[in-house]
Parts: sequence; C-alpha cells; structure tokens
Amino acid sequence: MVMLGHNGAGKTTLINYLLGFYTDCGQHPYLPGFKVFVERKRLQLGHYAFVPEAAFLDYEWSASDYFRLMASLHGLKKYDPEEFLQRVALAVDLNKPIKYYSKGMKQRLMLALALLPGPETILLDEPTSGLDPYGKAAIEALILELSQKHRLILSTHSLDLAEQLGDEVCILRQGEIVYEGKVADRQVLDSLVARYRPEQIQ
Amino acid sequence: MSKIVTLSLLQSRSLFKEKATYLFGVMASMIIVLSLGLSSAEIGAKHKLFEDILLTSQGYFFLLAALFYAFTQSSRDRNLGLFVLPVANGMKRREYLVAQMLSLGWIISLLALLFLSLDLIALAVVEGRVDPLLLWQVFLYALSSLLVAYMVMAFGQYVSLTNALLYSVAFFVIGHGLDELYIYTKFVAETAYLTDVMPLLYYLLPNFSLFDRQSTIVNRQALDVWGDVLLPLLYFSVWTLMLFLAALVKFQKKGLTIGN
Repeated sequence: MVMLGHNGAGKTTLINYLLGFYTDCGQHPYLPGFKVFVERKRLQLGHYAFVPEAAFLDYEWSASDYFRLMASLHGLKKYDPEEFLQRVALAVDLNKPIKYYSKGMKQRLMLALALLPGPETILLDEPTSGLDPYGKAAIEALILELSQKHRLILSTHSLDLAEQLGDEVCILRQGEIVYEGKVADRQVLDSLVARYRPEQIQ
Repeated sequence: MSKIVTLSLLQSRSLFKEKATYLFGVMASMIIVLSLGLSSAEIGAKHKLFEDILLTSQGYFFLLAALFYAFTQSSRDRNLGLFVLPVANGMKRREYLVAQMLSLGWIISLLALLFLSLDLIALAVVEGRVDPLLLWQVFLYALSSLLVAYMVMAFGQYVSLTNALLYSVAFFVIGHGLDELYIYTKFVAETAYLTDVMPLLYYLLPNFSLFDRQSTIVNRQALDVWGDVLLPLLYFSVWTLMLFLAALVKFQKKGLTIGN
C-alpha cells in the first residue's frame, strides 16, 4: 500500500499510529480520523519490520551495531549482515560509524535492516526523501524488488513509484483518508492526486 | 532479555564515547593526585585526611557524572528519536525503560571500576595496605549516584529535562541531610510538629545519607551489617523499582513523538 499526500497530510502520523506510538486518540488531532483504518490494517500486518528515516539513528553506531540490535529485537541468533548488504548493493565497512555514510547509503542500510528479520510486511516512511535523482531511482528500484517478496506499506511523494508498484493507494489530505483503493493507470492517479490536493494547508 | 542487554550496551557505549568521559577520566586522575599530594602534608592523622579528601571528591564526582550521563541519554533519546527503531520493532516500552536504566548502570559501573582500581593503587602507595571498607564507600557513592541518574530519567517523563535535573539535585541535597535532620528533631527540636513529621519524611524522601558511611569508615569504626551494608542495598533496590514504575506509568501511555 502506498500512502500519498502533501506535507503535513498525516502520512508519518498514520505510520506511527499503526506502529503503536500513539496510545490514545487524543494525542494528535488526526488520530480519530485514522482509527478505523489503523485497526483494520493492524490485522493485516503479520510479522513486520519498520525502519525509520535515517535521521532517527545514532550516527555513532555502525552498521554492525544496527544489525546486532535488529537481530536481537527479532530474536535472531544467526545472521550474515553481508548477505543483506549485498541485496541492497551496499559495500561498506561494517564497523565504521554511520556518520560517515552518505544519505543514500543510510537509506540502503535501512532497507537491509528491514530485510534481516524476513518480515511479511515492511513499513517505510518516505524512503527516498532528500536523495538526489540517481539515489532516488536506485532506492525505488530496490523497493520494487522488495515488493515481489514482501508486503509493503510506504509513504512517499513519488507518483512514479506508486504507479510502478501498482499497489493499493491511500491518499491523505490534512488528516483525512480521502481515497483508498487500486488505481487503473497513471492518468487516474494524477487526477486523483490533483483532485485531493488541498487548496491551502492549515 | 537479550534485546534489553544489547540495546543497553550499545547505548552505554554511546555515552562512553561522549567527550565528557575523557574529562571525567582526567578529573578522576586529578582527584587521586591531589589526595596523594595532600596526604604528604604533615597535618594531623595523615591517612584520615587522605581518605576524607579521596572519598568526598569521589562522591561529588559520581554525582556529576550521573547527572551528565542521565541528562545526555534522555535528551538524545527524545531529541533524536532513538526510541523509534526499537519500539517499532517489537520492543515493549517497559523493556525500553529497563534498557535505559541498565545503560546508565553500565556506565556508572565502569566509572566505579575505574575509581576502585585507582583507589587500590593510591591506598597501596600511601598506606601500604588496602582497607576494603573504603572501597565499600566508593561502591555506595556509585549506587547513590545511579539513583540520582534514575531520578533524572523518571522525572524527565513528567517535566522538562532541565527541571528533572534540578529536582534530582534538590532531592539529593535534601536526602543527604536527612540523617542530621532526623537526629536534630529527635533529640534537639522542641516542636512537636517537627518530631512528628520528620520520621515520615525520613522514610518518604530518598534518603541519600544511608549511602554515606564515610565518617564511620575513615574513623575506623566497625560497620553495622544491617545498617551500613544491607540497608543501603535494599534501599537502592526499592527506590530503583519505584522510580522505574513512576517512569513507566507515564511512558507507557505517552504518545511517542520526536521532541517530547
């Protein structure tokens, strides 16, 4: 499922709600509108993994540290980080702090971490945000590859990615889910996004 | 359990890498050197002066380090949103809190080990022997500073971190004087009100004076197994549990957003 919407539409809030970061509907003005959707989606999640934006990481830690943490969180005893780094085409020194990584490298690392527990569902919050066009294309290609084996829930501004994934689309506007369903083609997607674009952002 | 230990070790390593740790290392060495220097002065009982300076300065050192590490850990956690990855990947909130407390425990233990080693050398040099009771006092100071760190963490769930820091220092200062206040009200004060209220406060407020057995130790008086050894350990465990629960009550229901 691809979540689309303008900045401030509630995409990250919706993902956070899905992940249980909010415990009460009163904690954010958007939550009451998302409640039914979140309850339904939670039933479909299965075993999932979430990797946040790279900004929410401790840059002093290395890739090896993050693999160790992710493995312990998902109860994995044996794993080979190199295998997952190869799957996302990332060649790094596992023990080097990630503060030395470029943004694109961090995003690849995030995807590798998400793959580690072999989840049914992977949640991604704006995985291409802040990347240059080449980096963006590379991450999008990786995401398309992941979608073959995993159920994805991701928020993005990229209509190209949404079109290529051909998955269910969820359009948000200022804390409301205004559209949910499959779209036939790019033309329909463009018109839906244009229709639900807010005239002004409150 | 493994995820709690893994996270706590990684977090404490980040704390250890803070530049202030080097400063603490320098301070620790200076404390030893200063104590050694003063012990060579020909004033009164040499060993007493040396041990008094050594222990008092280490007590303050532990407090400073605990405040710094607790504040740093909590502020990094809330400003950088470091809770996001563990909590979003199945770590329960109570487990996350335990990991944070454990992380502070590791770093304070490391400092305690550093001091104990330096003290062992210094005592061997100055006195030609090592009194294990002195090391027990260093351990008690480490415990009391850890309790202050847990206070910063627990109070930080309810108020801003700066306020949490101030409240914790206030509790430490009040808690440190409780023994004297208790004795004063019991034997000297003539106000019935004070004598009634004081026992209540004595047990209700975190009683840090229980962790200070310095004068008994320096004056070579015998330690009481219950009052000087078991009670501080029990008291530490009970207060740790209470602070954990206080933090958990708030953290369990908190909307976890960055910057809160």
